Amino acid sequence: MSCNVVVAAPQGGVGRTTIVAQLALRISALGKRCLAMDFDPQNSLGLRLGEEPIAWVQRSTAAGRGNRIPLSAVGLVHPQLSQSVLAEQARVRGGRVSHVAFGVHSCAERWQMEADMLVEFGGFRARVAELTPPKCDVVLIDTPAGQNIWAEAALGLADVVLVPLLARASTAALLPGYEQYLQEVAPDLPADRTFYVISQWDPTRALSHDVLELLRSVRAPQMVAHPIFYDEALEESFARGHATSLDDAFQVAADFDMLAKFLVEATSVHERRAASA
Amino acid sequence: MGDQKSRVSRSSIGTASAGRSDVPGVDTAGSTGFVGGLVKLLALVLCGACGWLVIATPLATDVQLMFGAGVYVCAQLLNRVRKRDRFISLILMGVSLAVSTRYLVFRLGTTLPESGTLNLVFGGLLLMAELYAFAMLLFGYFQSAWPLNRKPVSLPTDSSAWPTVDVFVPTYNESLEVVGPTVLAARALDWPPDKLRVYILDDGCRSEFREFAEQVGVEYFERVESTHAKAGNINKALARTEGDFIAIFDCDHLPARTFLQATVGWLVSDPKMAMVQTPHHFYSPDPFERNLGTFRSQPNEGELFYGLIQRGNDLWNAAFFCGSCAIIRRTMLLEVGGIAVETVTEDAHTALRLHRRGYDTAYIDLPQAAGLATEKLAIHVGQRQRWARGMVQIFRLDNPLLGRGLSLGQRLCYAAGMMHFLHAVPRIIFLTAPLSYLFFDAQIIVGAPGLVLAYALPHLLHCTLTNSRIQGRFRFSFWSEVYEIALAPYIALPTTLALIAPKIGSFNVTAKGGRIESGYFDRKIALPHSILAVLNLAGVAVGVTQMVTGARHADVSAFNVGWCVYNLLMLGAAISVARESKQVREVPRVNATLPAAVRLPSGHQVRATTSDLSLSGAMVSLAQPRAVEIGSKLHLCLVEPLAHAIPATVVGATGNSLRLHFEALTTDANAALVEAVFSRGDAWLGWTKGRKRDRPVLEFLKIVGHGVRGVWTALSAPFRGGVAS
Repeated sequence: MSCNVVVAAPQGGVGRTTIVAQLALRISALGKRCLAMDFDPQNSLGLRLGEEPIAWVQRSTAAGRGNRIPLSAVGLVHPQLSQSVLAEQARVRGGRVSHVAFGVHSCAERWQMEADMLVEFGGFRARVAELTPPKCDVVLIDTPAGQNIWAEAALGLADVVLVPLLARASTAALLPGYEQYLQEVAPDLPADRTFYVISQWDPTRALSHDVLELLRSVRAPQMVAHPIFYDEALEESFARGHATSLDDAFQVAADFDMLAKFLVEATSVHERRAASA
Repeated sequence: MGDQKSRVSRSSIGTASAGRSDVPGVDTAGSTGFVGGLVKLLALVLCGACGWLVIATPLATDVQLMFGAGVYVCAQLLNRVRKRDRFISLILMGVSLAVSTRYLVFRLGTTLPESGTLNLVFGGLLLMAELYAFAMLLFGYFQSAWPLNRKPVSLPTDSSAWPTVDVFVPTYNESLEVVGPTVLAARALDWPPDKLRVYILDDGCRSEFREFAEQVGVEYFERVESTHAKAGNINKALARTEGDFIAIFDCDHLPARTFLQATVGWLVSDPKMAMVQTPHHFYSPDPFERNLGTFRSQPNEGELFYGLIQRGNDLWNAAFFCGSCAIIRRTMLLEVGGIAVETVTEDAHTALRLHRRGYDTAYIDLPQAAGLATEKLAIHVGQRQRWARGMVQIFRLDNPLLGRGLSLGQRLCYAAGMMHFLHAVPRIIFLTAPLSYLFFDAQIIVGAPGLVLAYALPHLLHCTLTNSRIQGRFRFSFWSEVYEIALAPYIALPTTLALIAPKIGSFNVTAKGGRIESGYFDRKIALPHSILAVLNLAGVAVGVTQMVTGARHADVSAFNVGWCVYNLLMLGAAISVARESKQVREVPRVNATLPAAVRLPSGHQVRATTSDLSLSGAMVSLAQPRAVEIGSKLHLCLVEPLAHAIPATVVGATGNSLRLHFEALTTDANAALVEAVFSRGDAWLGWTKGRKRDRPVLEFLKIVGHGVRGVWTALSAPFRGGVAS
């Protein structure tokens, strides 16, 4: 049985998509079978996984001629997406990690799906399960920032939640409200299955240390000890089209490695719990 | 004494189980009966008689030589069997003592001068010096016979049950540059924050210290009257604080964060335990190490005491308090009236009082703090002068051999510690004794030189062999002589004065944190040694003339010339220490391989590893070659544990390596550095790794080398433009 790891954040710009992509790459490098799912209508996870940009030109026509959108633009919102389509996509993309895109869509298509979800969540749950390969260890799910239906959909499926935070004064203020939100959306998720990690850490700023200290003191067991450093190298390698081959010499690569190991440990705890239950 | 031993061994396992004597079969007294006692007594008498025969039977020169050689060869062979076997060490000590006693019996019985004022005066002085040396040999063997390896005792798992601790950092005139890091390291001690308070005890009343204390969140006490120096300073703070235990660190001793974890367990588990001491470790070379080039490659002056003697003392529950890197129970310290103020070595005196009250002390041989060694020989000598004077003061004012409350073992350990500092006068006698014959024709030893040598050589060789075996890891052969000769002219007078009038004189503070800008020969400090060297050289000249002209017995002259040459070499080695060599780095660096990230001006954070680190700079190697210009500014971030970024300037770049210089650090960055360099509990554990064993012959040759160079320096100094301190 796979473990769903949802990456969700109270605010935008914390680097969720990058984190999902880097974790997907590194968790599979650790020998785990990993699937990355994009619950964000932006469809940007594929880019961070080193894939070609999806042809957005199709968007205006997608609603009318759903059957004719190109293979690469088919995603979660499209009923025709199946294991076999995924396999075909993987062959064409040649990526190192299997990836379910959100899919190029019209608003009408998305509203339809959201409406279905609100009426009957079980159907969506079944659809995600159906898209998950039978021998998959970890499903990493990227979500839109803040409180919205796609984040809620993802959190409804979560076995583990990872919340990246910025080391800013505002974070401490946002956190209590966001925690309430998490509890409301995923009431069955045990409290010790939510983890917080500081992203875009700038060690030269005294304030960032203070915020880290503060968060550690109030969320001690759930704070990932090591933050993810802010590193220009990350954006640079993305810009050069080397998103998936970040040089290990950079600190941020080591940070992602540490986080990947931490999550593998967390998911194995989940597996043990599931097995004993 | 049996009680002592069982108590120590019991507690050394860490399970203070009372009522061990209830275990059947342990208490054997009375079970052997009268016959057994008689057999024991007979055996003892027989052994004594045999021993006396071996020690006292006079032999002719050739037979004595053969006997001596035979015993020595046996001892050498035995020494090679098992290097670490303590029973063999005990046997060798016994043999060495027998051989030395044989020499002493011979000396007392047949070689003492009987007439002539000069003969009697010089002969008497030499005899006194030899008796002192023999007594110190006995004490030395006693103290190092069975060193205890006490391990830390773990604390209760529930940290809410841990006691409260006050950390005192007394300071008088040291700069904030020296004291600041110590305070930051003390602040980082691994202990529940609500149970730990750090105090700067400032006898200098400096406002910058007050501001610093406020900034880093520690307490600050100042004292206007600086009566009783450090002891008075601590005592005043004692009255104003209330922690269960008091950890004391000299202002230049930076504690590792594990210090309390390693020491407090003993205090918690043993209600009679008053004090736990850890070694004084120095990360910078002392003048001997720097000027003779022996830093880290051979044991320094302090290692004999902290590596061996304190552990030996601990067996007898007589580990001393050494003033720093220790933790004391408040109630017991108050009970003895706080830190002793009557003498200038307040630490040992306080421990003595605690022991007299029946309390225990412990010594844990794990370096849990590190400090700066004295920079210059002149300062080093000043510090030792204070120790010597203080220990002799205690010997006079509160003699451990007398008074109540001490066990025999404790009395002997304290007496040994104090009498050690009386070595100066005997040492000077040994350095001048042959001159009394060569210059004044005084007969200080009556007898044929061959016969005297036949008795004396085995005595000296066995001492060297046995000491090399038991002390070799902590002091190399012959180096005690160099250390003592270097100090002897300077402590001879203070110790003699203290012996006569123990209450005069004041406390002198040892200066730390200085720097020697360029190498020079400290003529002033080496003057007494130079004079002694010139005298011995003159002795050699006179003796050789006597031998050539046949004016006196050639063999007696040769014996004394040989003695002079030995003296010359030892004096020369001591003089070599006064050749102060340049101190290259502003701040001592430590080797530390720590993961780090270097944040380049471009915003990239390249992984790196430090190879050495100090509070003013670091050498790092990058995981990826980057073009970094000399002079560019960047940040070094230590990542395990995650610390504040340290702003740095690149001062050198070769390949992947960058040499960084830190300046104008914020308190946060400074704290990050202090914790990275000094706070790791294992920071100083591998210090002696890769060090070679003591090889007496090699060490002798090394000292000969230093000696020749030293004599040459002393002789040529008047003709060169040197700098006097």
